[in-house]
Amino acid sequence: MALQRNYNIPNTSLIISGAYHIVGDIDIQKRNIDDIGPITSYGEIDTNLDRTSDPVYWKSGYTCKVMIDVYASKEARDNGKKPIATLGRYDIKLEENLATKGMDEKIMFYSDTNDTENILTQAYNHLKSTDYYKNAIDV
Amino acid sequence: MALQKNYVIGNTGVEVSDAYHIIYKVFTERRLNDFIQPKSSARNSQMPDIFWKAGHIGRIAVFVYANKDDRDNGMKPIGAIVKYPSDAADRITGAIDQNLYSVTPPFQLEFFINDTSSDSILTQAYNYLKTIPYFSGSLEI
Repeated sequence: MALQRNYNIPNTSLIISGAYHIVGDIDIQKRNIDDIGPITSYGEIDTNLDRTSDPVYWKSGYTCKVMIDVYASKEARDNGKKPIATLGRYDIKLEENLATKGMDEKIMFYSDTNDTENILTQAYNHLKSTDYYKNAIDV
Repeated sequence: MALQKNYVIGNTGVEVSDAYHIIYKVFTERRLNDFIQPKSSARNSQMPDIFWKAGHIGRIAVFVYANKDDRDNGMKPIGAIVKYPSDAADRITGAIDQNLYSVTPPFQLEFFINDTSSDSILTQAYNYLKTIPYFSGSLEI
């Protein structure tokens, strides 16, 4: 399972057509109790975020941080080439927002342990819900 | 002055046509005395002068842009050809993983600067690069 879409090397005009995006790592963390959520630089609760629809910010349970390896093509990946980039790990600023809403560059989702889908499928489903991947091709 | 040729980004399989190679910096150092040669005569004969001989040495750092427009418009390089990662420090961050830099280029980035030449160090550096097989057939722009 992977997603295919163009990849623009950030801050350059170079676009890799039909790049191969594959989930390379999912970092799962358990939050034991509900958190107060993100705070502003003044130490106050950030009320600009929709806390009711984004349990990833505060709700107890399992949060998953996704890292995506971007290869030039499937052949490049299958032939042991290196990824062009790893999204979600480095300070790479893309013009388009690939992150979970409000999470800057982080791609995170709240995992429902009762979901019948496995964690990898949940990760891809979450990616496809982001603006960045909504038109990507499942490959 | 710059050199235009195809560029392969690391070991990714991505080849960029007519990439714009430009010398970003020439680090200079004066080696006052010859270094002591290795004891092995076999190695002695193979070691290039640049590794041991006294002289004025230039170490070239090359940045590679997708094209000239990227460079002129303040975009970031798609790669760097440098001897040490620090030679390109912080200049590519935000564009490409530094592990994809060519920090062990398939050629020597150091050359002897001719102090008596009327050419500038930069011109001498480009002239040196053009003698390297990697840049053979490149277009000077």
